[in-house]
Amino acid sequence: MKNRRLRIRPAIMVLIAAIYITWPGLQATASQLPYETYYKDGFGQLVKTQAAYIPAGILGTGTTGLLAAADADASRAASTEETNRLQLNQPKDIFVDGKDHIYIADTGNNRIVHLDEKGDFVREIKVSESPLKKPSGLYVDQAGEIYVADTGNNRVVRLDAAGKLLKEFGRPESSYLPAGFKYDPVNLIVDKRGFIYVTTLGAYQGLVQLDPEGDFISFFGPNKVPFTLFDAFKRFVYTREMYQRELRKLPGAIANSTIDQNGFIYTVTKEIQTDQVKKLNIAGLDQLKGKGEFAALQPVKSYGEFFHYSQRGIRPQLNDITVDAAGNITVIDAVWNIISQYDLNGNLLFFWGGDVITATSKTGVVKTPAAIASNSKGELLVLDSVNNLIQVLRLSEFGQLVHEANQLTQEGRYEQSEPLWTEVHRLNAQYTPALIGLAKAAYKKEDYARAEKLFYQAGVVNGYSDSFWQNRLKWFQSHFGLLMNIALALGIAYLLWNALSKKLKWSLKLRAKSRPKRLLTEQLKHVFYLIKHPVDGFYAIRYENKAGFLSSIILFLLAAAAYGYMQAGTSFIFNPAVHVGIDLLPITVQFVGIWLGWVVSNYLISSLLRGEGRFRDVFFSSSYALFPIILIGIPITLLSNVLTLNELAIFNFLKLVIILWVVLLLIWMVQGIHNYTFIEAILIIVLSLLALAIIVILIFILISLSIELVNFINSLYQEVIIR
Amino acid sequence: MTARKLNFKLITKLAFIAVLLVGIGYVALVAAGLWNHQAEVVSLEAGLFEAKGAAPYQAGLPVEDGFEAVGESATLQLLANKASGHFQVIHKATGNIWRSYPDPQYWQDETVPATWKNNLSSPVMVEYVNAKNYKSSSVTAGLIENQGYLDNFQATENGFKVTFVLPKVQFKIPVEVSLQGDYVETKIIDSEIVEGALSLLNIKLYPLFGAQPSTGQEGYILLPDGSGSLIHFKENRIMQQLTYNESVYGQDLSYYNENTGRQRIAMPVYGIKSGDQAFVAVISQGEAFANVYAAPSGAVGRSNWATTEWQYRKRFFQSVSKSTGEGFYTYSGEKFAAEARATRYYPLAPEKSDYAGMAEVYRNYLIQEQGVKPLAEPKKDIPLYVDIVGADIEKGLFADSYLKATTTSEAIELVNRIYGLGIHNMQVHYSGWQQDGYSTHGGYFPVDKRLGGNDGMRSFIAFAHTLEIPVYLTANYTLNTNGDDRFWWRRDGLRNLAGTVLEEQNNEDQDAAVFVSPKFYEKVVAGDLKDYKSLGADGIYYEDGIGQQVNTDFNSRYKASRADVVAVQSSILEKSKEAIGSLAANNVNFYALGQIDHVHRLSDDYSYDVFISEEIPFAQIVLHGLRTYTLEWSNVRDEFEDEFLRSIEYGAYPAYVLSGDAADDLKKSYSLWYYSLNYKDWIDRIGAEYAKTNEALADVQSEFITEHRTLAPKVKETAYSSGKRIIVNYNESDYNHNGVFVPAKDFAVIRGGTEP
Repeated sequence: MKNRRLRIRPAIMVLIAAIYITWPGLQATASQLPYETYYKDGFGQLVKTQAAYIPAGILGTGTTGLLAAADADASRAASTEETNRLQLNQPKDIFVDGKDHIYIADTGNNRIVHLDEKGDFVREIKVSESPLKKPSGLYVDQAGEIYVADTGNNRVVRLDAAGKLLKEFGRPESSYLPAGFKYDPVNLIVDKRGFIYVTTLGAYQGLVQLDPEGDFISFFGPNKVPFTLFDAFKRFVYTREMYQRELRKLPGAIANSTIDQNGFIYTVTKEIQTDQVKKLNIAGLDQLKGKGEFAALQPVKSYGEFFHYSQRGIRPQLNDITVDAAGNITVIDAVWNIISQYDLNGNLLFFWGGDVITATSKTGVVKTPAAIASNSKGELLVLDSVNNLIQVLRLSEFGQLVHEANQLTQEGRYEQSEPLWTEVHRLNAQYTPALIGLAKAAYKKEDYARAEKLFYQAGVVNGYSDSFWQNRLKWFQSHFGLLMNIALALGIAYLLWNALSKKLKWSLKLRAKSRPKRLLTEQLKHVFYLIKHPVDGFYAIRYENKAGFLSSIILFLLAAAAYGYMQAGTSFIFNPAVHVGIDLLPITVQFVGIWLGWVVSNYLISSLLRGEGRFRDVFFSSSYALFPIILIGIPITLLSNVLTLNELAIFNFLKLVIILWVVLLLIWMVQGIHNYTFIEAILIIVLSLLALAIIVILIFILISLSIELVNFINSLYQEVIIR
Repeated sequence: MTARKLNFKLITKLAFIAVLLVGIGYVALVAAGLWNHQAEVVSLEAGLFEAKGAAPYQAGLPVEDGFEAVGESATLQLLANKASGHFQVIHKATGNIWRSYPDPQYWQDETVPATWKNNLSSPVMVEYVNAKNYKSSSVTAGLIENQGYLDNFQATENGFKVTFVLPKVQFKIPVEVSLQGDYVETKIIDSEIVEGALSLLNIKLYPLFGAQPSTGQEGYILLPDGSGSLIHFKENRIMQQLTYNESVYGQDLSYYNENTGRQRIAMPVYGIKSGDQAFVAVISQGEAFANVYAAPSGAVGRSNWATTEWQYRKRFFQSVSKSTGEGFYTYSGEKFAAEARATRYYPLAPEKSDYAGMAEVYRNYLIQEQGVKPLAEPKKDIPLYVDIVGADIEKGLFADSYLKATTTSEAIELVNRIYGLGIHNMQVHYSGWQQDGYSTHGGYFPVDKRLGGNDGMRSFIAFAHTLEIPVYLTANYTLNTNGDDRFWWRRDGLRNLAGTVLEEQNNEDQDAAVFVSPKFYEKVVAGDLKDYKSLGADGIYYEDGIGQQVNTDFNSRYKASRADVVAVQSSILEKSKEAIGSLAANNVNFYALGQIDHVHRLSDDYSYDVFISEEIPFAQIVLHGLRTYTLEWSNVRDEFEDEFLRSIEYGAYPAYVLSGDAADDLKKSYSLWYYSLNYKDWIDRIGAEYAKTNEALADVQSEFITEHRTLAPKVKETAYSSGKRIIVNYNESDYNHNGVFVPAKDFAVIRGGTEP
């Protein structure tokens, strides 16, 4: 006991310290819900919003409603007895049927508890003819028949509305079930046909799908294992036994599931980082993939939100999921106590919760969320398995408004949604879904300029690109005449130039001759020679002093500036990060650092391996090799501002050209200044990169060690001074 | 030669070993504690705590008829029991009895273990710790557990004096109980407390005064949580073990604070009602060192009880590592010394035995004892409070970048537009006017040039004065972010027990702001007053700091206890009121009421603890007619409609926080991220809300709230002294009862007469 306490204490202290740092303003606000509600846009930026849900009371205790003082008299008489009957013990699941009656799998008491729509006790179901043992999941179909995942008895039972046993489903007999498959049903759903989908503990194969007779059909909705390059490497290197022992490579096991009115089956999976939530159609295909507004930013979507501060490290673990009548998906996270709500396409609407207060318990805050359900009034019921109660949250005015507006948008009724979104926007000017809704409405009304502006504000790439395309078309149409005139004028000017240039050339030459040669300009000019004859050009740098320190620095600075300009000046369509604002400092530092590292490591390696280049040669020519960044980078950055996603290929191709060209120049550079063959040059480059990696690692180790040392000395000092 | 050298070496060696041995021996002796003169000390203390024939304290409750009268007033009688030190208060008109111990009628049903039974029946409950051993944990005990006895019981003019002696733990606690007019006052005499080797943490004096178990009667504990909240008496509550324990005037950041997420106690007051018998307790002296402790039935015993927990030492978390947050708990050394620690219990007559009655007592206390004068004759229309935000900063590339929200010339336009709605009684608070905007503290003057500078502000104020609109400037002197005002954090920062300068980080992007020592900001405010005056400001609006932050300061240059900080802040308020003429502050602790003319953004919510069963406008009942107040800004509400209704129910005036039309994007600003500030988005709402509120509240501005109750679930009634009643219906359906009709989500005004 004592030992354990000793171990726990520091952890708690750390937690307390962390809480104190991150929640200092808690006591400052006048109106104070026990949680804060946020929205997070595609860039991970938090936006605080009005509460979407408001605490509406606690169930499972005999008390109905929050401030029930007035009708306390009426309920007082019944309350004592009721409280005793109602006292839950580690309940694990909650289900709300079509009439809003509430069923709770009261696991610790081996029973099902049935409450009416007000939360008053109706009955308990224990199935006396074949008692339940640790039931941890249940489902009630439209006919009122109750299906229970009777975990302790390793079976699923089907009861009639009165609670009489109708059928019992043990482990299904099927050759398709692996022999080692453990059948521990923890939850289940039933579709309209009477097919049962059983969530079994740790079953990475997916939900066990049974027909109404209990025969095994198949596994439903399994998760996939991500196969990475590293895995391919392992597969190549490892023996068969070793590879099979890689247990981690099992797909995530489904933790919970639910079904909506349209027959879509939703699953949540713990212990995976992305696609934790799936909306499966009857064929088992995920309907959420690629549907989000920020799909361009987040090719793989992660569900279960968290505040980015204080919560790094431990990822959310989604425990349960519920879907309301409009298809909005709500999930609970057992690690950070955060409830996140998404619309039917998986776009985040709100998330709230998070503050872990150990000293007291609050209305509206669940300490250990075990399950969540929603009723027809749009309330959320969250089951707390430690405090043994149900927290009820009702939709707020703001939440209601957002739900209504979003539903219209999702149905494509953009015009009707506009006044609602306008109101949402008025209440919270920073709430991104409102911007998106308004932008879509504007697009529908062919007000593309406004749509473009709003999409940009919201940070939605696709919408912005489409509106921009429309605006560009309009611009071309209205400026067609002018453009043609300009083209004509340019053509004439070109012809004139050709005609006149002969005369001019003569006078220019004269002027050029008369001017004294300046070293710096000559050295700078060398770069143009270099791009035409790379190997010779670099050779000339080494042996003919064609480059100087000043010219290299100038070229390098220009390249760095061009690189920075590419990062910051590229259109939002191709570089969504500009939406949040680009911090040029780290980018520049990175660029300069890598370049310097390259110069040093290349010099070191080549000087070991008979390279002829001196340090200054490597330095000079490495700056000259960056010239494509200036030559192409600036024009394509400018160009990007008139392109849309349709021309993405052109943009990407040009970017690829820069990279290839620089790489080739570097190879030629190594070849030229060190006098290597092509193959040798490549080998040297690979070695240089290796050396660079080692240098970086060493620097990191040095820094982290010295930080550790400083911390150690500091805490030692503190201990000595204080104790 | 060589031989000598060898000898020398040997001698040094031996001498060194000898010194080392002696050293080790000494250390061992000290460590074992034998070197001290402890034996003598023990005998001396034993003498001090010798019972000298005093009977040891008897377990159980005092005999009901063993009480004799020791004091009497017009309405009350005080009886005391010499053997137990307990007392009874009798309301002469009704014969109601309030006991300082559990009600004997229900005592035999008490189910707590014997130790706690002893504690609950003890007149004094102490918590102590062995501070020398940082691993030891604190112990709570009463007289009986410590073989305690009463010493020196003597009757005084209107009460009695007694010393509680706890020989086992070596504490002597002298107390005084006296009857004065309509209240009984219990007092601990700090200067005569004797402490032995153990350290006193806190004392609960007569903890079960007026306590009652839940036996089906109507009753509740009133807590000063937020605007006020009730724990209704109820058997079989959920999560019974939870109790309420919060520091009066907020947590002391110089010590360890358990994170409870609760609101600050602004009013040192609590009460218990059971049937028609109720009392309200006001902590009248030493409240800065008090906690309000409440244990509803089932938490600690069957009784519902609430008491003052007098703090003598506080826990402190001594961190030893910045990176890992590791550390250990320790306690403050010297105990807090207050001039006096007194709680007044006001028994209430049956017809006043509800929270409105309690509020009335407290209001009278404020008027009579604290010198808070009721509102003078108000204007015809209610006031509208407009907070204009000037500017803020956000994280920039190298330095923070400035975000302009409302320049002084835009402010003129803004005020003009609102005035144009026909709202002529308006008060403006201008915030973020200082150098570098709202999140920058230190060196407030001059007004930031980018907003128009001093001249711009002067002309704005002059303009406002032409419309008879007073302008207050918002300021918070308790933080410093830039080192201006000759503030050097090492020298002038607020330090905690370990000597660490306290910092506050409200936004993760912003560098932490440093807390300023109260005695330092006293000087700063004094220096700034002439600048406010020269701008022509009508007042200062002290936001978030002065009147709210009460932290012990361990900075040796400016050492101040909590009580000192309260005194410093009071003197700042006094001086600034004298110099400028008027002050406002948000959600202040009530010690500031005397100087504050307007309480801005008064809390209207509770802390959502599971045991709280109803939230009530206790603070508002106390304040209406005494001070003007607003609730949270209307445009930052979670629910616009419901909270508008609440402001009507609570008798509060509308308040908005607004910016100009051309504000920079404040989304990432450090403090002004508020949802929606543009005044053009709100102008219609302002007009509508003002009109509705004015209609309801204009003629009761200077009246007290006399009654507040729940008519039906989510239907509340507020009554004013003229008999005017306002009924608010929060339900989705209409309320129609006895001829009173209130539409859904609306309110109705009834001018005297018909009872609903």
